[in-house]
Amino acid sequence: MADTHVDALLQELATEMAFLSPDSAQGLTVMVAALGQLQRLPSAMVSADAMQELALCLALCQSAAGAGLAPPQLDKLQTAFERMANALYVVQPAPEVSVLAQPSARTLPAPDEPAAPAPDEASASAEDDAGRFFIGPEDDLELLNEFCNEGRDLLSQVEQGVLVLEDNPRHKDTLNQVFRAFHTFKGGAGFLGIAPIQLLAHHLESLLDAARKDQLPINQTVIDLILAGGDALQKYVSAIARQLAGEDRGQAIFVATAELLQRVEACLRGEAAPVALAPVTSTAPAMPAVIPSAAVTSARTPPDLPPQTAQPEPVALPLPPSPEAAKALSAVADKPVLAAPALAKPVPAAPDKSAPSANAGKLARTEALANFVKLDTHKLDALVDLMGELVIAQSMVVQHSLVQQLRDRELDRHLRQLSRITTDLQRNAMSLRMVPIRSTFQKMNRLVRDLAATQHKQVQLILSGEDTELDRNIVEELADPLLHMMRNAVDHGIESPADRLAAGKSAQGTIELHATHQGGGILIRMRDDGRGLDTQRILNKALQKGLITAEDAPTDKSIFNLIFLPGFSTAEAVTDISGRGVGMDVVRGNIARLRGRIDITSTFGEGTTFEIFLPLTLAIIDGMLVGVGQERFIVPTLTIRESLRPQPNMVSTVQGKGELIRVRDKLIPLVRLSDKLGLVSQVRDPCEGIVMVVDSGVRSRALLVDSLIGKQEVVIKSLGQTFKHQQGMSGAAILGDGRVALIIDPEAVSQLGSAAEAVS
Amino acid sequence: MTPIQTLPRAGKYLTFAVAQERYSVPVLKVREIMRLCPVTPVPRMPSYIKGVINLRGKIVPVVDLRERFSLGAAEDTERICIVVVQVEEPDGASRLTGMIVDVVEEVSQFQSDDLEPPPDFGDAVDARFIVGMAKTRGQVKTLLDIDRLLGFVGQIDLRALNTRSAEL
Repeated sequence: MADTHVDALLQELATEMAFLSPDSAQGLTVMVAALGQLQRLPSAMVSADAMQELALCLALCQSAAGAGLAPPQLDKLQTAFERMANALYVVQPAPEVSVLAQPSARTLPAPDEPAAPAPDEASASAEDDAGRFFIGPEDDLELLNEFCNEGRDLLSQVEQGVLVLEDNPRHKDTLNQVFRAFHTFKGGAGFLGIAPIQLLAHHLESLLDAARKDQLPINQTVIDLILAGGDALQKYVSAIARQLAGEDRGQAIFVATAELLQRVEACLRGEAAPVALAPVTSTAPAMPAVIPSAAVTSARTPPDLPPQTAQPEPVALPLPPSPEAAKALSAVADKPVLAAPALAKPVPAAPDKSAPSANAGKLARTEALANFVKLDTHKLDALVDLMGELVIAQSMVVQHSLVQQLRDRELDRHLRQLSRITTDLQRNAMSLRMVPIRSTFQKMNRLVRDLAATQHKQVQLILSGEDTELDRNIVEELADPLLHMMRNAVDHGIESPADRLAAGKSAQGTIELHATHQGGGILIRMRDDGRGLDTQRILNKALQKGLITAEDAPTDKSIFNLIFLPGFSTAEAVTDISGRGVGMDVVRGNIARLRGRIDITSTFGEGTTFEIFLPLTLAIIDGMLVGVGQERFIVPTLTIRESLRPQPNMVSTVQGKGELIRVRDKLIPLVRLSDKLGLVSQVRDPCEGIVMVVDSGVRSRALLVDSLIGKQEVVIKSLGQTFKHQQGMSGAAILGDGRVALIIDPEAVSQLGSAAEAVS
Repeated sequence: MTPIQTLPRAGKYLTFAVAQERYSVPVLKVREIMRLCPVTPVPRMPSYIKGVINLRGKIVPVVDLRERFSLGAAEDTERICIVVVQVEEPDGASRLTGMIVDVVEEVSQFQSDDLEPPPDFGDAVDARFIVGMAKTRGQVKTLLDIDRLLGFVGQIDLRALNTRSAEL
C-alpha cells in the first residue's frame, strides 16, 4: 500500500518535473503538494539522504512558487530530485503503515507562501494513490461543496466550449475560455489538495496551452481527449458531491485516469494517437506529423514564452500583465487572496470583440456570462414568499371597506403608488428565480453528438430561444424529460443516412429545439425530421394490449397520446429498434408535475414534433377562480382548453359511463366537481353551470363548476404534511380577501371516485 | 417521542374547554390564540379536519377537537377559539396546527404535586395522546400530548376513537 503510494507520488513528481519550465510557476504547486506528502511519510520508509534531498527540492520549489525557477535553479532541482528518487528507491521495505493514520507526522512545509495549497489542512487528507483519494473528517466540507458547485459550472463551460471548438478549432476566445475554466478548476483542486484531480486538470490544461500557442492543432483526438478528461473530472466531482451528501462516506474516491493521462502526455509529445485511443468517431483524423517537435519543446523548455507567465498558479499573484494574463487572471486572481477557490465566481472577461464569424451566435453563448452572485436558494424562496404576502397584505389594505370609504385623493394616490411598487417588487423578486433555459438546452449538444456518433447517424441539432427564462426549479426538472425525448429522437426518430437518402431526405437529420414565451407560459418545441410515428403500429399495439377497443376509432392525436401510457414503452411498439415511447409515461409525469402539458404531432415519414407547455414559475400560477357550492377553488389556467355554458343538446348520458358532453364534435366525460369534492351545489343541471374543458395530456375532461369568478395570479403554497395523502388538490393559495382557496389538480380530481363513499 | 415529553412535567399550561371537559397543553407549545375565522374546507378528509386557514401567509390546518373527541356540536359558538400550536413531527420537523376549542380558560402553573400519570381507562378511552392528569382547584384537567394528537392527523384509526366514552 505504502510503497505504491510512494511510487505514485514519485511518478507524479517526475511528470511535473518534465513539464517544468524556467521562470514559470506552472506545475510548482503540484510539486510542492507532492513533495509535502512525501515528506510526511513515516520516516522509517525514507532514508536520511532522501529526506535531505527532498527538503532541498521542497525549499527550491517553495522559493520559486511565486515567479518560477530560474534555469540554474531548475537544474539544481532536477539533480536533487533524481538523487532523492534514487535514494527513495533504495529503501523500499515499506512497512504497512497507512499515511492517513499518521496525521501528526505531517509537518507543514515552511509557510512563507501563505496561499501555497499544500500546507492547507484540507490537503492533508488528499492522497494520490493512482487517482484515489479520501475525504476525511478534517476536510472543510463547505469548501469541498463550493468546489463541487463551481466545478460543475466550469466543466459544463468546458464542454460547451469544446463543442464550439470542434466546429471552429481556430476560435481563440473559446479556446482561452476553456483553458481558463480548466485552470480555475485546477486551482480549486490544488487549494483543496485533491492531487488526482489537480493532476488530470493540469494535464488537460497543458494540452490546451499547447493549442493556445499554436503548437498543437485542435483535431478530433484533442477534442475527444478533452471531453474524456472533462468526463473524468465530472466523475470526481460527482463522487465528492455524493460523499458530501452522506453516501458511502469514508470510501476512497477513485476514477481511472492513468490511461487518460498517458494519452494526454502522448498527445503532448506529439505521438499519433496510441492504440488505446479508440476514437469515438471514425472520422477522427490522425495527428498531423508536423506538431510533435514544437509541442514538446514548448511544453518543456520555452526560453521566453510570454504566455507561459499567463498561467498563474493560485500562488502566483504579481504577474506581468500581458493581455492574455490579464484575462486569465481576472478569472482566478482574487482566489488565493480569499484563500477559498470556490468563493470567487470567476469574473468573466469583458465581452470580447465580436467574433465576426458566421458562427458568432453559437459562439456567443459560451461567452455570455453575466456577473453572478451566489445565493442560497432558500433565501430566495423566502424572499419570493414574503413578496407574495406583501402583495396580499397590500390588496387587503387597499380593498378594506374603511379605506374605500375615505375617498381622499391624496390617499388614493399614495395607495396607487403603493400598489405599483409592490407589483414591481414582486415581479423583480420573481425574476430572481428565473434563469435562461440555456444550460438545459446545452446538455443536449453533447448528448446528440455522442449518440449520433455511436449510432453512426448524422444529426444536426439546432437550438434557438435558449435565452428564454423560466423558474430555475423548472429548468432543472426539465432536463431529464428533455434528455429522454432527445435520446428517443436520435435513437428512433432520425434514420440512418442510408435510409434517409433512400427516403429522399438529406443524409443529415435535423433536430430543432426551440423555446419561446407563449401566453403566460413557455413553449418548448422539439422537432425532428425523422421517420415519424406510425399510427397503425401504435394502434395495433394498443388494441393488442387492450388499451383501446376496435370501436374506438381514435383520432391521430389520441393515437399519439397512447405512447404516453405506462406500459406502452415496449420494444417493437413503434419501430423495430426498441420502440419510440420508451419511458414516455415518465416524461409526461415529469411535465405534469411541473403543471405543464405535452402535445405530439407527427407525420409518418416526415418527422415528429413535441410541444411542451410549461408555466414560467412554480411559485405562482395563473389561475381561474371558480365557485363550487359555498367554496372557491383555483383551476390552473394552463390546463384549461376552454370554458363554456353547455346547451341542453350537448349533454348526453351513457349508461355505466356517466355523463358526456359534446364540444366541437368531441365527446368529453363530464366531471362534477361538487360530487368529487363532496360539496353541496345548487347547480345540478350542467346547463346552469359552467363547463371547463381541461386537458392534461391523455384525455380531456369537462369539469362542471357553478360559476367562474375571475382570473388571477396566485402564490402557490403547499398544503403541508397533514394533507399529504390527500388527492385532487395540488396546493393552496391565499386570495385577496385573506381567505384560502385550494388549487385543483384537474387530472387527479377526475381520477377520484365520488366523494360520497370517501367521506364517511 | 422521547420519554421526557410523554411524562407530565410541572410548568405553565394553557387550559381550554371542549364541551364539559378541560384540557391543557404546555404553554410553550402555543403559538397563537385567535377568534374562529372562516376555515376553508379541504375535501375528502376526515370530518374532524375542518380545513385550512391563512395565518399571516401560512397555510395552517385546523382540527376540530369536538369532532376529534366525538363530542357533538357546540351550542354556544360565541367564544369558540382556534388555538394554534407547534407540533413536532416524529422526524423532528415542526409545523403549526390549529385546534378549535369551545373556550380558552386560563394559563396556570401546575406543580408536580398536581400531576398524575394517565389512569388506566382500559378499553374505554384511547389514552395514546394523554400525557397525564392535573388536579388544581377542584378541577381535573387532561394533559394532551399534542404531538401525538395532531401529529398523525388524517392517519389515526377512527374506530378506536369512537369507542371512547364522553365522560372522564
